[in-house]
Amino acid sequence: MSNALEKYLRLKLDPDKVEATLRIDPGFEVDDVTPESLRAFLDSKAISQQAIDSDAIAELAKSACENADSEEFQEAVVARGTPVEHGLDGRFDFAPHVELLRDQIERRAKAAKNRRFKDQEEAVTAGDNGNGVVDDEYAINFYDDSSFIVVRKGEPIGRIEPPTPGVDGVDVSGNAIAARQGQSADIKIGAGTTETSSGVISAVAGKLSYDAGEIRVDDTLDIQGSVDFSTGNIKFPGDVIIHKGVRDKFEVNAQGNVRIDDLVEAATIRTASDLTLRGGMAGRGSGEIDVQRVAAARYLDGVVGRVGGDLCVEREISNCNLLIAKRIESPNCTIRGGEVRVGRRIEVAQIGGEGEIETGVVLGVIPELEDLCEPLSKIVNLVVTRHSEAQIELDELKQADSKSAAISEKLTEVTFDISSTETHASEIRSRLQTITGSNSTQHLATLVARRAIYPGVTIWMSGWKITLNDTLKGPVVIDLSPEGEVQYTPLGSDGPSKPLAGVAMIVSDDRVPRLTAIDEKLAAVA
Amino acid sequence: MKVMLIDDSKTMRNIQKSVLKQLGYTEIEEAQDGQDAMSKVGAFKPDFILVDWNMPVMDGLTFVKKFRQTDKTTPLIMVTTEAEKSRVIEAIKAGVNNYVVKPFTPDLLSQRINETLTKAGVPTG
Repeated sequence: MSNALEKYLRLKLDPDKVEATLRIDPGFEVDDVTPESLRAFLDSKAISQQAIDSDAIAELAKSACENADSEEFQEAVVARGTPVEHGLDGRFDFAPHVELLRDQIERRAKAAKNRRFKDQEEAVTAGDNGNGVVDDEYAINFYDDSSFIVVRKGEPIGRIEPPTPGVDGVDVSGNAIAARQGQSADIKIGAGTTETSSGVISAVAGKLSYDAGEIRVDDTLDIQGSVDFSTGNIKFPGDVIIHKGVRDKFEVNAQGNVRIDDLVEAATIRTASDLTLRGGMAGRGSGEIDVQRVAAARYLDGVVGRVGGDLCVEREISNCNLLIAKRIESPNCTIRGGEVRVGRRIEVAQIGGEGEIETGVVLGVIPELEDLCEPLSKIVNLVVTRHSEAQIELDELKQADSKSAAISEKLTEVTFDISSTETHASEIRSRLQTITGSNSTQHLATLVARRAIYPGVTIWMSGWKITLNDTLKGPVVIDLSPEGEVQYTPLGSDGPSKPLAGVAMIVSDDRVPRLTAIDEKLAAVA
Repeated sequence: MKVMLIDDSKTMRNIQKSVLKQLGYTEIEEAQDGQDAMSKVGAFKPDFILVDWNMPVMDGLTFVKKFRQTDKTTPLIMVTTEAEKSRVIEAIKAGVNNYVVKPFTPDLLSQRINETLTKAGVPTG
């Protein structure tokens, strides 16, 4: 290579030195530019033989000579090393279904931002697929679409991907380029999760969260605000604590205990365990509770529903329609308006109020038999009536002089009717005894009013309907005498008990049928 | 086990059906007279038959005689108001295995069915 050529040649390296570009400026002597002279130049610049691209050099030399008269320079990449592959950092990859939910929650949060919901219709957005195109699949229902992810116990959550070491490279001079090692993911496998060979799974059912590098599942759902459009309806497998209230038309459905610190409006609250309403509930006739165990509330107004255990209310149960399987134990509470049906015992301060407020109290209800009692009574009456009719018919046929074929067949028919009704009565009786065996609570049904029971109040208990004529001042206990008559006794006194008939109108009524009476009817047939 | 009931009275058939069901027989074919029964019995192949005597079109006795021409073993119980001894003997000669006089009680019918099947070596209900 002549020195004359060298001044027209320039070699450029990329920052990683894995690519060399040779440039030939105009003005050179054509005879000086050959593949060999160019290769000699690269040698002088310590470019490794392994990196040199001979074809590119030959092509560049040819092109330069052919365009020697041009004012433009000629250049080509003439040597290549091996690029370095740096290691990848470790990371947490969510399971695909969790990723989808995260995406949905993110879209929900974006759509909810600065949004003011004026009515229920606005609670469903038109779908937008992110490109301004309406797509129902992307619609958001602010009631039904959750604002958090709930996972089952043992559900896959994701996987921690480890860092990779990377692959070293070689520059155009043949020097090694060290790959950078990836960093471990800064992920903490938190409470409620466990790492297995197949990835991270939930150790409990609950709410999945990923915050400050920690993945955790909480079996208690703690909502700092209210259940409203910001949260959507709540459906949770564990305990739920709501630090504010629950707005109209929203639903809370929990497998564990539910505690709500502020007002519950006309919402629906269901729990497979206990319910505590610290702020009370103003249901306006459509608010609903369904509690499998014990419920406690500051007050209940316009609420419908049922409680599987006891109910304790601090202040007032007003205009509610409630079925309480066991007891209302609320010595300072007033029941005013509406109707409460209770299995065993009511202890309250007052029932009804001044102005003859219509208030119904049904005592001795067995919830399991609530829907069954009326049809059962009807069926029993039918069976008993048919048995008695058939018996009369049989007697008449037996007294008939004629023993014609027709009479013989009729006798068979009537005998069969009697036999069938006896079998039915026996079956019903046996099943009734099975059902009531563990529920024979009617004789234990007791009502305690510490202050008063007012006119306008109607009490049903064990076959009786009791309408108060005058205010019955407390503290007083109303229950059944051993003979099944309604009586009252001043609370705390040893008696004597007085028949309630003196202060109330008492008539026989099947609203709470006396099961013993049904059984007695059946016994006469079976 | 398959049972055929032959009686022109639907009420009587229902009563017998009810007793049969209580005894555990659920596969029951009904016929309203002897001729109706003849047309069904070949395909149904009952394990035993309850047959009334007095029926229109073909009475029970005629049915029993015709049936016994081809089937000597399937138990037949006559359920009838015909209580005279001579009639009972006539039916037994024709081939019935047992006899139930109307009026009967469900218990009596059950008892007759069981004793007939036991005697014929047919396993009961």
